[in-house]
Amino acid sequence: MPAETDIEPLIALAGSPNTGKTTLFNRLTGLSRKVGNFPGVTVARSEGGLRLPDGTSVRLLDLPGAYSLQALSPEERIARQILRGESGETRPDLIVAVVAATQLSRNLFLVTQLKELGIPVVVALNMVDEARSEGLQIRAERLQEELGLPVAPCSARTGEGFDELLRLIGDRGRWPRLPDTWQDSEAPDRIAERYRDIRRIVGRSTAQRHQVPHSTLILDRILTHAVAGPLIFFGVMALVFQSIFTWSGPAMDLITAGFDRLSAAVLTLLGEGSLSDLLAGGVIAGVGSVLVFLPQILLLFLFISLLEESGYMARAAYLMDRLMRGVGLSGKSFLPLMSSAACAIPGIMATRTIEDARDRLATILVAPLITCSARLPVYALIIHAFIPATPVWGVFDYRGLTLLTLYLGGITSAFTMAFIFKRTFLKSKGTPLLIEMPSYRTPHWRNVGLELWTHGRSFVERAGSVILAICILLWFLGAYPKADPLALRSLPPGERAAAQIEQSLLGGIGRAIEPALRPLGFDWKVGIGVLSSLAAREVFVGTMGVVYGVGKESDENSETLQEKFQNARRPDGSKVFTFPVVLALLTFYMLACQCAATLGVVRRETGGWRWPIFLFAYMSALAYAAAFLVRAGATLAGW
Amino acid sequence: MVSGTGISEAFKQPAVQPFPRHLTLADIPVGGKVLIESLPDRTAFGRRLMEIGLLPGNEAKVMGRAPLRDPIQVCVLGALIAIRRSDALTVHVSPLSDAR
Repeated sequence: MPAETDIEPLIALAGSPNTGKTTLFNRLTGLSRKVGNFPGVTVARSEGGLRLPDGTSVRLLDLPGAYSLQALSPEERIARQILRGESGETRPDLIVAVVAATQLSRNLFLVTQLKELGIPVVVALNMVDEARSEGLQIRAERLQEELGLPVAPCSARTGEGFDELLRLIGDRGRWPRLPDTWQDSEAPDRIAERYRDIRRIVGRSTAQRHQVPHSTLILDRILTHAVAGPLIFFGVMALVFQSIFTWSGPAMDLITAGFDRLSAAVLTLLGEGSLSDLLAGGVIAGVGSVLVFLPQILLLFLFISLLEESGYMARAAYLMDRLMRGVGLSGKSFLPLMSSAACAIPGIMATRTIEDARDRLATILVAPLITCSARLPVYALIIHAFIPATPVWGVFDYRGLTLLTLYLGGITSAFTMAFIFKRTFLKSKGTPLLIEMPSYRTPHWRNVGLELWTHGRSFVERAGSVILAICILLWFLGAYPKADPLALRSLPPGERAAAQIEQSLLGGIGRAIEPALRPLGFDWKVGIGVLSSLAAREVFVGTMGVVYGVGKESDENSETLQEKFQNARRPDGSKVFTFPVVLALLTFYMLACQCAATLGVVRRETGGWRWPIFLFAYMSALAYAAAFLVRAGATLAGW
Repeated sequence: MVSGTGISEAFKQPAVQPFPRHLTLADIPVGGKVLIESLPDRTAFGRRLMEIGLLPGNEAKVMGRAPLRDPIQVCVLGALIAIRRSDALTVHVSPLSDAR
């Protein structure tokens, strides 16, 4: 967020997509990069500090990529608003216009517009090393003369030419600010006129015309082939999916075990008491429940930045576009939705690659419907306890088929909701698909590393604070008011925790909402499970263990918990978990947004509480309605 | 009963038939080179196509088609760009014969 007190000069980095603008920004600002959102919109904002050779510090703002000041997307609108001082932010003192030497003509289009804004412009002629290797020679001094702007030939990958670029930025005081003469709504004639100028400028600066590199043409013949392309893409996706699902397992177990040991150590160190209980059960368990997602996030972002950097991501969007258009999205939504099958959090963070803000929001809103790995423990507990392992068609059994149905149900509901959202309030207007496919190149370690570092850090910092707060709140609700210690002592140890929960505010709320859950067939104990798993659905298993008095260490394979489940009775002696109720419970967990971490990330990605609240409300309503219908249907069918 | 061929014909044709029917970018086979004649420059997207180099008078080459023949990959000013078939149908072109 911009601070009023900032007196350091502001430099805006502007350029079309695929000019290497972000690589340049990363090299200039290094680890000082901060990512966030522009206020009120789902457009990512990166800012960083930079020290010039003369010792002055400046702020560097990485504007969203824009083909033109005549904005089509929210990203381009923000770039224009900042450059023209139409946003709440300070107007930049200098523009560094990034152009790729390999795409000179097309990238100069925006530069001819930037020139009319009245702010001094320095041109960073990026990727000169790549142009050289393609045999493309550009005479920078001629370009400077023809363009009427200072030009620094450089390479953001190697750092070549950065001394000169920094010197030109440092000279910024020498140019006065002029009046802004750029006219909005350019007529087609004006566009053609700009290209006539560009043809003249480029014609005098270089003798060659840029060609798509041969290696890219060959690779595209395979990777975007109508048959081989999708097959390779699914292979890549399978690898990504598998790695998030399984490779992150050991690291996640390590984090969980570490935090369990830490809270045990706190308990022994401080002894039994409210403070140690808050620290161990609220704070440490809360932090642990946040950090446990970090391995998945880092792995997914490793893959995403490799795919993005290599140029493959644009091809994947190209291949999947026709399929995704069926529900009103574009090919760019495929990867975030697919990776949500491991965990919605990295999936939602991956929607940053979707430029269209409405497509991005629709993808964010449906990603949590895809069955994630945290639903598995809940599914496993319920399925093992209630679904018989009766074989079907030899290889399958009812349990496997139930799990498959739940996965398919998640995917179907996500696509259905995307379709509804895209038909109603997220209807795209005037932004047809345009995918620019950059030449293939080997990923750069610096960019990949920085991506991992900034995304990991921002997740822990921003989402972490929200999740932690909710976890502590839930702990308080479960721990207070304290049950009578004398009454507790008279109970067998296994039932003490259950008695405490029953006495607590959470227990009270569980009973209070019982009438609301009765149409689904849930009793107040299940209600407590649902409530306590608001923060994280897998908590359901542990809470059920506590409520049914099996002890805290129960897991989904715990025989006793499954037996208790099967034998649970209502006061009138009837079974709690009849088959329709079991189906309703599964349906509820398939659709409900029982994940504080997801809500925290959605708040962070959309820049406010509006969308996480909407997400929670619509998913809860959907889950409730579907669970009700499933129970009613199953009861009618006589199951 | 609606005949099967009738349905598939309906899918092949653009929703709005320009009259007289011009050759569009969507009609060009992979590998074909064309000269851009005109595009809907009154729409924001038409202007955007011009801004990224797909403007009347420029050459373009169709490089490939995604599965189900959509979107279409085009090379213009040394860059690879993909647009949807429905958008390519609005770009009028004339074929260029290769000087081979």
